[in-house]
Amino acid sequence: MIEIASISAVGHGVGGARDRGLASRPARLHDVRLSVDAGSVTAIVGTESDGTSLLLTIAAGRARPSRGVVRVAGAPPGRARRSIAHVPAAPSLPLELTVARALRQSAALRREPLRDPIERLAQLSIEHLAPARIESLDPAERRSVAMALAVTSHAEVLLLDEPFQHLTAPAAARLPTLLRARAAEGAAVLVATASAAEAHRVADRTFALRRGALALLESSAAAVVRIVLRDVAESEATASARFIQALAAAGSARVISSRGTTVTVEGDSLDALATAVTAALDAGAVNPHLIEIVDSKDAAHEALAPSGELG
Amino acid sequence: MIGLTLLRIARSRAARGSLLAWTALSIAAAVLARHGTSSTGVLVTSFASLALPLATLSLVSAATCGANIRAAVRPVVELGGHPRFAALALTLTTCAVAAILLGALGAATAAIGHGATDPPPLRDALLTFGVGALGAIAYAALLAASSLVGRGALRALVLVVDFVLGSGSGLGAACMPRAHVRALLAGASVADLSARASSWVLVAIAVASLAAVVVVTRRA
Repeated sequence: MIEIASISAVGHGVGGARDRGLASRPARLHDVRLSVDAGSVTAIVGTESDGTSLLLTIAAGRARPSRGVVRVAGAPPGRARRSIAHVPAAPSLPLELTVARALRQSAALRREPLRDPIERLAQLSIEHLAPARIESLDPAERRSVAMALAVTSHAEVLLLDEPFQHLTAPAAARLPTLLRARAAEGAAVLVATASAAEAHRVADRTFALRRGALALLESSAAAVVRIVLRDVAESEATASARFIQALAAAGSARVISSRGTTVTVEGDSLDALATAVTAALDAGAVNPHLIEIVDSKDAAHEALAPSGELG
Repeated sequence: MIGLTLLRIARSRAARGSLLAWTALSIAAAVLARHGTSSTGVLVTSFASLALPLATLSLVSAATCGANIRAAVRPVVELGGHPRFAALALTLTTCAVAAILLGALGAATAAIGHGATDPPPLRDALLTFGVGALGAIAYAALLAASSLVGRGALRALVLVVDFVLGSGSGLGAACMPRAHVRALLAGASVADLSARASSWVLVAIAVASLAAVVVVTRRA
């Protein structure tokens, strides 16, 4: 679905630090090759300065590589715009419109059948935002709306930059399930994130992008992950106990310690651990505040770790 | 993008304030000139020199949210729109709003300040509406094209250049909308061009500016 053949580029990704008025050096991509099939979720672990935003911007047809070719559904991305939903790190939304009208407008622009905006928003538990004008929303609500516009569209290609950052808590909890469901429907999902844990939570394949060079992130080595649960109305002990119980049922993760809302677990592989933690969070109906990799013998992960960008 | 552009213009306090201020100035000048022999002086000085370019500037700034045109169309691109079509829709909508509002202001100014030596009132108002609308389209398209560079500050610079060069009557003035609008209203000529040629130059400025917008906003 997405074919990125030996692209090199220098520039800024759309919605990156420069668009937020911050000083930033242009990112560089060197001979990046990547293929994302329909029905799969692929994650790229790295930061904006490593080129993640630039790579998604190029895949969306919103910037051109200096070398190499990008194809989306067999065509240059500029010709497949309706099939592509791109959510940059700092998305631009039509502030003057209500959320419901933005959803209707988006459906019209993508030539999709008109659906009830409330139903679409309910998939990320933000249906109450439908009548609100976008300019009146707080940053987390705006980003959740941007995510809903992309993820609930019929776009065949989803390009999501830091999808879990600055979302409302219910939206963040529902997003992984929604992304996997979209992939199951045949969409090609490409996610860029600075967090290896988030990547493993959603992706079938994970790559590391470090200073513009892409490498497959193997995740077969043993790992230790710390999960901090979000404050909930019920007692901390109840939420943690329910999470640990669900984790035990998943089987492939062992609890090392549990203190308040912080639970540390280990598993034989980062992939298995990510699957077990995600399943336990869903089954226990608890929201994570933070998931961080405490220790991993994964070679690619260790190559990334000295930058201090990963847990 | 059409609805969004109209919303942006309608909700912009700066655009509303600017339109009100320049309307008040033009009408006041026309009222003062009522008992003169002709409304041409008022039309050239207050309407063509000040109200037309500056009110159009405020409309373009409102439509682009005071930013670069690529940034202005980005919300529509992220909804699934094509940047080129979005930029074209934004520019054409702004041109249409400017043409209607400033054509009407020109006609009102001509009607109120109508003098004894002017053509019949209805004909004068219609002619001034046409010149005002054509001038507004040329200015709106030119200012939209100026918004392709940087964060939009070039718009004001273009108006300064238009003011300096367009006040003359030589070759430099022939490239500026100001000189042609003044020529069409005052019946004078720019670089020995006829009134018809001046009208075509205004059309050419608008078309060239629209082409620049379309070509440069392929990606956003």
